[in-house]
Amino acid sequence: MASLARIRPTIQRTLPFVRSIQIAADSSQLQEGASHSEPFKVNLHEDSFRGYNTEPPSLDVEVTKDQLLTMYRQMTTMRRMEMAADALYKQKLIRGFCHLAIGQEAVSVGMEHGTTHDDRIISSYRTHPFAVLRGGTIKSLLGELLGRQCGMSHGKGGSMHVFTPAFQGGHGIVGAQVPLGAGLAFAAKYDEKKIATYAMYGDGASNQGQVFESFNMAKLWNLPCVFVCENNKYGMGTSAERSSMNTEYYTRGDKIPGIQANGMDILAVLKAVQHTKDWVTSGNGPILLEFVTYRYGGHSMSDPGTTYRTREEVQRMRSTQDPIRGLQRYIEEWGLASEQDLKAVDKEAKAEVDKAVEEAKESPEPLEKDLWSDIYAKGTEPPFMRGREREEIHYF
Amino acid sequence: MLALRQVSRTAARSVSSRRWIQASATCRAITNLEMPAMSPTMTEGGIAHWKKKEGEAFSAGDVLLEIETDKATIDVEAQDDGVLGKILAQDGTKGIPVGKIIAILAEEGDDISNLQPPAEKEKPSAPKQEASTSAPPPPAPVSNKQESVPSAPRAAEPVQHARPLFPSVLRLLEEHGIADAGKIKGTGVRGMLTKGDVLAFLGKASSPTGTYKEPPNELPETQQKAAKQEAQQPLDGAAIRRLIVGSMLDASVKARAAAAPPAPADFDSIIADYLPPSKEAPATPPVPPPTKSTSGPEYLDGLL
Repeated sequence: MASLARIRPTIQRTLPFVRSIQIAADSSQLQEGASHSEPFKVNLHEDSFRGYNTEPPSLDVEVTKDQLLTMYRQMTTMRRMEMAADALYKQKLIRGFCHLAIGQEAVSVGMEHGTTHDDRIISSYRTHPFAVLRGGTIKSLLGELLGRQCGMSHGKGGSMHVFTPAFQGGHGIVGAQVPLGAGLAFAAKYDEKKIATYAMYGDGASNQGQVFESFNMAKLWNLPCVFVCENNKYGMGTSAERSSMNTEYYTRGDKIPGIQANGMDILAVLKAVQHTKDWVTSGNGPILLEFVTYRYGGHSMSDPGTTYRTREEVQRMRSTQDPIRGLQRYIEEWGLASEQDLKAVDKEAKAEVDKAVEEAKESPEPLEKDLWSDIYAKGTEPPFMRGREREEIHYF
Repeated sequence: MLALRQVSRTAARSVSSRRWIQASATCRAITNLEMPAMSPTMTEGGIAHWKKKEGEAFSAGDVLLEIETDKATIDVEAQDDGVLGKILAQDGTKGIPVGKIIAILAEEGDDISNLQPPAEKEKPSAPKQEASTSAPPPPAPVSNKQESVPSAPRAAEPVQHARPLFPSVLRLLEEHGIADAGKIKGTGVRGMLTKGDVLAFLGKASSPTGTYKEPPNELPETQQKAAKQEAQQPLDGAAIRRLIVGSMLDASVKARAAAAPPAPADFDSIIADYLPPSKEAPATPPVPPPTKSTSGPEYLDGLL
């Protein structure tokens, strides 16, 4: 195995003469002048998408000034929130697992803007931004990480179990959420609702068996499910080339068509999400959507993130392909806001997150009687349940 | 026209490109850099080496310093862009508890010439901790003094004992100047002295086992079973042989039953299971085996 690792870097990553996707965050161009009140069109870079068994989406996106400013505010706030979680973990106020999505904000904010809160999204555990954007608050998320009563799961779930009515979680077992997502799509089709279901997983989970079982069932029964692969190039500590025989995850669906999109450019994400939502709600069956993105931090808080990749690589991605800087560039270049305005937005985001941190810290820890609630649905509890020791018995 | 636009755009891009090196915007504030817990079990660490000097600028993701924990030396990255204002803990400092401020970070363009190390800002829980930690130290030194005084002059007296003593017991006896170990009754294994015995003798404990209570064995079944097992006698030779022969008989009977060939099945008998029950033919009584009379001249016919 070690000898293979030494040989690997010399294997060419892409075949020559084959166009590969580009992941710059700021490559979109304005078509005509950007209006401050009307929606205007933007041209994406021609290498923003690749298609498999289907045509990639067209390269024009319609956006409004307010939408772009909202996106910027949300991305900055999510970045600040994840950094605050990082700092709280290093102060030992957050314990246990904590997987941060710093660098992948374009995916969550882009998906939020391309879908409605009726659509279903189910994901793994790098989901703090999803939970907050889809109906949660920063205070409830940080409270959940700190293990306090104000948290989304009342402090009993932690980082990997955050749910809102519009976000179906928050799951710890790798790849376990993909069959659940297919089931949600089945329910949507059964109830004849015109909604899309986004079942998300990562490049590390893409080789799990149940993912392919879900593909089979979704295509067999024509379910309105979008299988989203967030390819951040590393599955925990293993790079995608060392884990997968086929790193083009959008082609893994066999007969299911697939699209690969630039996950660092939020406008490309938005277009891809809109395209796939139209695809599945029009009855075309499932579709695969791969976002090529990057995470700056380690897999979780116990991973420094530099033992399997060089610090220079991380710094290079941070400086040249950061999604927030890319959107900032669009906004400033297209004359929608000035640098000072955006700096003010940054400051407000930092203040909002700091305030939420203080409020969450003041919330009390769960009561001992809450150990027994929320295990069974109300009215279906067994007569008694054993606790931590044999003598600890709780009667419902 | 289009070419002019493109040229101006690229010119603007090159001018503004320097700004895009920073990964996050700056805000005018001074932040304290505290000692981070690099792993969940870390309680204190040392500064191995500062990678940035005072006044040096850094961007988000740059390594600021290396921290030495008990397990490894780990790099600490900066979260935001900024300038290192003042280093409070220099290279080589050891034993810095997690949470202590080790440097002050400022933003670019701020005046860093007169940064004061902050007066130890206590978090709300810290004053409580300080109050509680100040209470135990006063009693601890007081009791230490009491024990240190008697132990010094009495260390010379040897303890007389006829049987081996535990080190803890020996220490206690020496400390309290009990010369004769025979005075104390031993409740340990084979009558040995235990620490609890000595403490009870000295009056420091209520009994040799202190407040330990045997957990009550409540379930009656376990008590009965325990009593039954005590009452069982060990098997003697004849009983063992009887047990063996009995088990062998059981096993051979079972084997004979299992080895008997199944009754041959024909089509009707198999399909009868699946057909609806028809009116039953009168059941023929099973043919009784020919009775063998044990008396009479024919009895031994088959044997001879």
